[in-house]
Amino acid sequence: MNINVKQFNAGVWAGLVILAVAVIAFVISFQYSYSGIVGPGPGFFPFWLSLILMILAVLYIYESIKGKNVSDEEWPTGHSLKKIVFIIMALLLFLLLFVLCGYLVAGTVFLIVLFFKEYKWWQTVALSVGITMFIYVMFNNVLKVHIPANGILF
Amino acid sequence: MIDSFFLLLDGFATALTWSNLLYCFIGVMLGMIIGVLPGLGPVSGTALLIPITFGMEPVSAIIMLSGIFYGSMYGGTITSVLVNVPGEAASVITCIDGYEMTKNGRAGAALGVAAIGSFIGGIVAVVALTFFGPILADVALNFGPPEFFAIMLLGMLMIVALMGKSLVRGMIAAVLGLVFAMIGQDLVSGEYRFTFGSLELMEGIDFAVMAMGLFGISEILLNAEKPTQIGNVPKVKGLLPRKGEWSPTLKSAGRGTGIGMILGMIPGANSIIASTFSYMLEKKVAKDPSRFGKGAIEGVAGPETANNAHSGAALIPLFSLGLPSSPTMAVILGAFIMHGLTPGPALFTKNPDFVWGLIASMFIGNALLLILNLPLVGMWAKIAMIPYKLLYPIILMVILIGTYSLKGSLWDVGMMLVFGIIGYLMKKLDIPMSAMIVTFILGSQLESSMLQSLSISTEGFLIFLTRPISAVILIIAFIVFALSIFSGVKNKRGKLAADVEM
Repeated sequence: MNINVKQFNAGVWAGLVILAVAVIAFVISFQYSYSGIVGPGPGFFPFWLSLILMILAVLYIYESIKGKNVSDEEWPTGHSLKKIVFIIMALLLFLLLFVLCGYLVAGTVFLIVLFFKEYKWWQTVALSVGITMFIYVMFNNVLKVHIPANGILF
Repeated sequence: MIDSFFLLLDGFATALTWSNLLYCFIGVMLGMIIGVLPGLGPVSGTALLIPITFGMEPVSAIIMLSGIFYGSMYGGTITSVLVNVPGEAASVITCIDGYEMTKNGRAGAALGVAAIGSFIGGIVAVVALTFFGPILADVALNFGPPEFFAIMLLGMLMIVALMGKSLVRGMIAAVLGLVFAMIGQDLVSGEYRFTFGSLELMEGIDFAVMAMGLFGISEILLNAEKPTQIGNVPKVKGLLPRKGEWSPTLKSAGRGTGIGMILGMIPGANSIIASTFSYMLEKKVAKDPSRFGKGAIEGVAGPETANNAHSGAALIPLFSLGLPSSPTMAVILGAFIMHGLTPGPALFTKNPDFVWGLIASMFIGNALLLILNLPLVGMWAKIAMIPYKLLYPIILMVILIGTYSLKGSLWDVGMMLVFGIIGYLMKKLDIPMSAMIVTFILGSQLESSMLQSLSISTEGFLIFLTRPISAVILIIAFIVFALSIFSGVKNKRGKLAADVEM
């Protein structure tokens, strides 16, 4: 039998994270009263759900250790891992710039970052500015959904 | 029956106003585009458009959102047939014989047959909705909280039972969805739960935020690892099958319609199951099964009809019981609630204008799709050719801005990104996201229906078993659950396994 060692670990880790979430939820659930005026109160569902989740997490860990029903998906390595991290960083950069400088700057920079490797520099700039402006006009003027053009800095 | 007919005529009066026709048109066009484009699925597509519908009348909003839903089923076929890349998961099966037909120079016929089949399946399913929906709703009007609790529980268990390789992981997804649903103010007691002192969490998590993260961002991340290469699109000539092929085509479309409709009404039996089933059936009834896999026209007509009939039929439990059977349905359910409508049996009596207008729009939408599909195939193929490196940054940006525009809150955008990463990890770990989003949306209703049941009950939890309807439903739910445990133990789940959006 061919057990993917990496996958095997991933399942165990995921199970542990879920178990932690379940335990936290279980502890918190005691803050809410278990029974109310008419039967169960606001604590009833949280209590049972987190209890069930704990049991399921343990079963999941067990399943992963035994190598049963493991996921067929492979984890990214090397180039593809870099690419994913890169996209996530770009998304976080957008969020940060959005707060600081507003949408127009954030959007343009975000697109430049993602287009940069694929296109010539002038194509990159033209595409980024053009698309950002287009989305801005679409949302603000056509769909009447306000997007702030400025941020905290200016 | 005859009532339904007249109400439907009224519905056409609503659907045929210029503005609603336009929204229907926009909806199905966007649906086609979403179906054709890799990296954007129906769940994130519908969720993205929710902020745009804020200013609209509810009926127009839902007309547009449902247009996206059934439109994407048509769109997904085009890339399957032309370039062997399914635009939507449900079209995977179409690749087998559809792409073979393209290689034989018969792309036109494959697309034509798929469009005609889709139209037949779609229309028959809407007819079923017209006549069967009100009947089911009438029955369900007598349901109290215990029955609804039982139905929701059954729906959730079916989804868990039918999705994913591991039952444990399916259950985990479902329970996590319920836990996320509890964040925020409890509707029954008014208490704030799991807010960790955060003001933003007091309002709970927005379902659209979750949907866009889980299904939108994660899809882009997954595509980044193994980009889909789209080769040259062949020329499309002649859209109709040969003379002798009409009769087998229509017969397989008929069988596909039946399969799609039945499976569409079962929560959790997703469209991929419908199209796979139809393909297997076509192969079985064919005189010469060896043609399959080499460009058999029935292998395109059957599954394509089945997945469209499925998407139409999936609306029946949503409208009449308020039960979403797939993630896309769950998002549409969320949109209903956002516009102040409660799907469920009362919908047909309380908001008849709305329901019938929507149903009528689906007849129009399916006709529009048939018209748009056939002559414009060349244009759709060009859209499929847009390079992914240009496309994905734009999709990401639209998702970011779409999330922001929900409430104008950056917290939501951050939350959406978190769900994007969670979604990516879930996909890698093979924990079905579909189960999570469906239980998330039903979570608060499940809880309140249970609490209501217990408050009217004099014998505690026994109320679920002393009322005949809820008892029967719960017994079915129990059997489903037992069977899925059994199949898990016997290791027979492999074939069902698929986490699909529709």
